[in-house]
Amino acid sequence: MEFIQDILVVSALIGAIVYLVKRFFVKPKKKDTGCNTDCNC
Amino acid sequence: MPEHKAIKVALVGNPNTGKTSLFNQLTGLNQKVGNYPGITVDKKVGKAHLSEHIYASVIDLPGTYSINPTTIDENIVLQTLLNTAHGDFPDVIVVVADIENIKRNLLLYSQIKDLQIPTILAINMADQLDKKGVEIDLELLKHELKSEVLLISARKNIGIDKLKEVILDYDKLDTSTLAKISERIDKEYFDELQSNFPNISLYKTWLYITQLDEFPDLSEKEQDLIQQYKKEADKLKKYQHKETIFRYQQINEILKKTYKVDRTKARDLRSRLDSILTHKIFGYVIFAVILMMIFQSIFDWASIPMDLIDAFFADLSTTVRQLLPAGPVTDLISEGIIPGIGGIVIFIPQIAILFLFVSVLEETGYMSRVVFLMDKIMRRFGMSGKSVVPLISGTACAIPAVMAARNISGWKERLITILVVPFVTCSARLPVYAIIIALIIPQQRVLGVFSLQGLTLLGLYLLGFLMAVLSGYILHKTLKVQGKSFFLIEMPDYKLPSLKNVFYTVIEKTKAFVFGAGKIILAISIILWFLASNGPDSFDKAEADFAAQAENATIDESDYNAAFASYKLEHSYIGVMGKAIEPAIQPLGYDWKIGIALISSFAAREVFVGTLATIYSVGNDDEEHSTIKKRMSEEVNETTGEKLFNIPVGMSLMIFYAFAMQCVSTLAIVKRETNSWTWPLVQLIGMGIIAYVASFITYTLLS
Repeated sequence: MEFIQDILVVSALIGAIVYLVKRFFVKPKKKDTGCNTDCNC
Repeated sequence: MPEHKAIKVALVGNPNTGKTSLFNQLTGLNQKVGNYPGITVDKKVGKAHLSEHIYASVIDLPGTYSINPTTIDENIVLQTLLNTAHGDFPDVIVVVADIENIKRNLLLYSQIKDLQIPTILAINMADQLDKKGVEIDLELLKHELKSEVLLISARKNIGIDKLKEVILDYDKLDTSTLAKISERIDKEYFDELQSNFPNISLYKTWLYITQLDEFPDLSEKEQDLIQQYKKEADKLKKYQHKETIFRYQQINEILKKTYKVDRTKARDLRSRLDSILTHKIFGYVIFAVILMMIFQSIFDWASIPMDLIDAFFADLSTTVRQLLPAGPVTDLISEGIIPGIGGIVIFIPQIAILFLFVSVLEETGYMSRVVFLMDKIMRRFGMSGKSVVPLISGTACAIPAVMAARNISGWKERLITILVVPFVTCSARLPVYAIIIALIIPQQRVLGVFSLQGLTLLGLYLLGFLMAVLSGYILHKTLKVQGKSFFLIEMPDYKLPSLKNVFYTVIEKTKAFVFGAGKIILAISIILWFLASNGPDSFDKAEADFAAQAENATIDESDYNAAFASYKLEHSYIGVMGKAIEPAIQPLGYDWKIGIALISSFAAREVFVGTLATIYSVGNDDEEHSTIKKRMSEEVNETTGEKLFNIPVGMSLMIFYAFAMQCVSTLAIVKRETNSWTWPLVQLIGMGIIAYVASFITYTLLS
């Protein structure tokens, strides 16, 4: 039982680390805003 | 005698210009309301008697801001005016404008005039010219706009007879174009267009290409040609922007010569309110009083729901611990996740109240007056009036505020604004301030009215704003970057706030705050709990070591358990990390536990409270989990034995958070906006040094 709990805890830990790395360090894909050089958007 | 001639008249105009009032005035009871075929948009047509034998068939077209349609209603206007075979195609168009928003109204007029259909400009609400301090040189305006311009009041039936006379003589109206778009955009391109469609007006051809998909009055050959032009989508978009800019430039030039507003002469309610709310002394006093009321309410109204939420999460932790079998998962949930999430949910009432006030101020039109008022200050500090918009949005979050700086055309002013925006107190700082203020500032009233806690919070907001302005001034004097811009703002009318809009804004902003920060906090809570519940070799031996050390001490079981929990935390991974940075933060009055919160809240400031809640929860061996506030208030400085969160430490911490750049997301967005790592690094290091020095001075002076 304790072994299963350990696995769950480690999975949660890995999930949390992956989420934070993705959130702050992985560059999101640039969206096409439809702007051109004429506007300030 | 039977009426035998009908003139088709189309009423066109921006929404809320009094177009329908004019329609009612012209047609009286001779009107009927139907639907446009296939859509549920009202079609209003009526009859107006112009002379004994001639009447006008008047159609009230849906309100539109421009001839480039974005809605079904607006599309109807375009379809009606472009298609000569359309049953409602007019002989003459009356463009209705109002005296206050004439610039915006003239964009539509300018586009319609270029369709080369006889057009009359009717400026409505002319009875309020004096009240609003507006002067119009009518003859010059007629000359500049190459058409008949009339001052009317649809509500008071002023100028309507004259309008009927002009409609009667519509065939005498000048139908030449107003804007020479070909010369200002791309002469070669438009000359070619004109030669390919010699029988259609140039602007109409241009609209065929950019706006329509069906062209009932064009030959097959012409339709094919239009399709060819349509393929150059990028070019078309660019030219459309150029067209709008050019039209506004031309309108500005015309209005400079023909239209003047002297607000000092204005006597209407809006002007009277403006003269008070934007007054050079009262304006600031009123703004300060409103701010004071907001911050007072944040504490007064939110305290009960916050206490309830805090108690709920404490009970939840206890219940989870009792219900689930003992083990690491139960510990993770009850000591890591629940306190961490509770640390953010508790601030929902305060965040909601803040956004409630902000959206009410925006809805009423007051916020634009604040922007105008603050522009005078900003200019003295070398920033643009447009910088006020990002600075005010910065009270919600620095990220959209940095992006809002795109509206500033001068690069230097834009860069300065981007660099100083993070000083403005964002909603993420609110939880940090709120918990520390609740711990160190007594619940007292000043002058019997103002709450001391609310005033402290107001002081912190003002401090952030002053620091932003001061840094802006220093950057203005030191940065060697060229560029200047001008400030232009359209003041909306005052109105009662729409409850629906306010409700949606509050829900949307609060949701964004909770869910945006919530996921980060949940992830950090899990990692923190793991780091606080595990450790290097000494952690595994902690129980034996502590038992050996406490062997000769005479303490009761509960004190023993608390001391043991604290000993274990100190020897955990997080304890080791906290101890490592402790020498650097000790001069500011912080212990290693606060150090951990400082490190983790580098990701996002609001993580601070959740982190402390998690750390103190792990370090607390009580079976009954207490509230975050209680746990923090009971925390004792290990060196002095006094309460950790006293005035010197609390103030030092709040000053640190007021100035430090504790937000990775903002740094990322600054990098994107400036296209360089230099400026985010300048922010990070510069704000870090300011925060450290200011906190050190605060702690030293107050100790």
